[in-house]
Amino acid sequence: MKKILVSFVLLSLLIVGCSKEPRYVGEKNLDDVPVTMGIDRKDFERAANEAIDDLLKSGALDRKGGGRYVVAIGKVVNDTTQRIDTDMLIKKIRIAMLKSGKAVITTAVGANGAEEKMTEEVRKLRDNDEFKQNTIAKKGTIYAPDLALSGKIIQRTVKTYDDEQLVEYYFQLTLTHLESGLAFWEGETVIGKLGSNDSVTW
Amino acid sequence: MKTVFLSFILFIFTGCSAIVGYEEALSKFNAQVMSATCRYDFVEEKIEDKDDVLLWSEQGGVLARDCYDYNRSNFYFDIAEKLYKSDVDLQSSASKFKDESSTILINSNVNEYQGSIYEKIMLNTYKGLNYISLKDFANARVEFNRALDRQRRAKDYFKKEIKEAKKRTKKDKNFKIVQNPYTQKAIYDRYEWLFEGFESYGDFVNPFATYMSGIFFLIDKDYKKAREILKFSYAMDKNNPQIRSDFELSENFDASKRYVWIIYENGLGMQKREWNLSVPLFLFTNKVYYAGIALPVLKEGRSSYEYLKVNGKKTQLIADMDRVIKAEFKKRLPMIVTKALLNTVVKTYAQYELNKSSDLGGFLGMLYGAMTNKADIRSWSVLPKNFQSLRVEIKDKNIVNIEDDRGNLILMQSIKEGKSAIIYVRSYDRRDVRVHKIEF
Repeated sequence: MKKILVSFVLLSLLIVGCSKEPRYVGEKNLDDVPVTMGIDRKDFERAANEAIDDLLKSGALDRKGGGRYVVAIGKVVNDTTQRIDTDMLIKKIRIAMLKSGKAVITTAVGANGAEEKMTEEVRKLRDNDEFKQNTIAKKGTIYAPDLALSGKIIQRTVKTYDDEQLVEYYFQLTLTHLESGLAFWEGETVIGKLGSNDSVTW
Repeated sequence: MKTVFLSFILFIFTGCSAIVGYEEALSKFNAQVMSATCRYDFVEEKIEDKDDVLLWSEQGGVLARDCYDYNRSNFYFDIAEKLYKSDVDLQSSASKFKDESSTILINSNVNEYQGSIYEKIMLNTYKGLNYISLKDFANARVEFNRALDRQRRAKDYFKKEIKEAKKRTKKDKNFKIVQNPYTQKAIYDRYEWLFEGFESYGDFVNPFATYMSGIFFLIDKDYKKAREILKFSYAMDKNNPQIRSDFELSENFDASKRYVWIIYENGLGMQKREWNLSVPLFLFTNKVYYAGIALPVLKEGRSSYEYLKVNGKKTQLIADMDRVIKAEFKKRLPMIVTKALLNTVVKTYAQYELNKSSDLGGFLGMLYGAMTNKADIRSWSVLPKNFQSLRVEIKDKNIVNIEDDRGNLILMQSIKEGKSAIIYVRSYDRRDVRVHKIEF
């Protein structure tokens, strides 16, 4: 019986030892190990940081004659198999844009309507005697956006020749000049992960 | 004698499912779904008791969907999906070994339900449909992407599963006995009628999952992706006028026009039933010994309305679910047969030894063998017989009249001005109609 138990423990150790943990593809730092085959916090951070660096270096936010652009947040399509909140990517980019002093973000217009409903709500208080009318936002004071930031996160999954699974996430962003309809800037970050093909990536 | 002792011990600890099987529970649930009473106590009890949580979550998902409780339906489906990952895909080798041992010593009814590949694909398809009904297109996209990914990986997944199972059963000391060509032929000859003239769709493909994904991406205005997917659907079924028409629409979508898709989920798909056969075994010498063996077999489901009709046009077959179920059953059959035979051989040997020890022992052995001779007939029992589709253009009237296959008007659906729609009709039986209307 003992022999069986020992063999079983050894077999289990062998199996655990052989399991293929997820790892990044093309990473210089081999100590940097992803925790999952899905998109995790680190991936969002990396995609956002790369996008911010590229955007600020590109000069797309340098307004001729000075001043800041007003940027609206468009639709960010999650075309993956992961249930993710695309705000995890976009929020970091918004913060960086604001910090750069080159752009401001409008919350009054967006792909899914106004992000901040209060902008409209306070205007409904006009003619309400309970409110000091001179403290209510005046007509014609909301800024229309100059630019819109939209994007897509795409997933591509393939089986490798040695029975592993390669998953690539493409974080694609576009900054469109709304007056001309031209894309002022586009950025793409690809994150690849290699790991076990035993189960799905989500 | 060691085997006999181990069998009895395992039997005591694994409960009565080994003797009773699952036919009664599945029939009870099916009757509940058909009656549309929307009571969840049966499913809840099963989940609470941790009694095949995977199976009853899938069943509960359909029950809640039929009752238009899409959030509850997805709650159940989420449980099932999580279990497919943790308890099926990533099941440890030790646990797989334990399952196979208990299958061989008792029967596979004592193991947790493992589902099947087509069930995984349908699970994500239903979740996608639920999200469409909830107008949550972002999450619907994720679910249809998952359904497509499951189809992509199905072939490799199955190959690996079979390879591993074969490796384990080959190590069994009785493996050679069950591989005897006479024994094998005696079984497969009996199954011949089931697969006569049968043609599968290909490696675990469910054409409905592909088609429905294509239609979703079309209504989500992702025409490029819709085109790629519908092109694949069209390539699978070139003579299908509806798929061809939808593929053409994806190539040249006219946003000024309004459309209604009638998606029809027809009847009840194939169900597993127990089948008792007598097989020749060559155990001790060349002398043949006949033993009773219980195996699962597929029984035809039933159709509701053969088709639905709008403006004189019939819904077209998109996917024959029976064909999908049968294809996977056919692929899994050799493994099921091998394990059932190994089980029979072990029990026969045990009975022989018990017979030698005493009359009572022999009697008990025979009783044990007879009581545990049960096939595993568990499956997601409320899937349809087939899926059909028809698209019509809405022109002047905002009413869609749906007739049955005898020309009787069974549904009148109004569509809001300026909107297109999917009218998803589920019918288990004639006069039983549940409608999920999605306007967009």
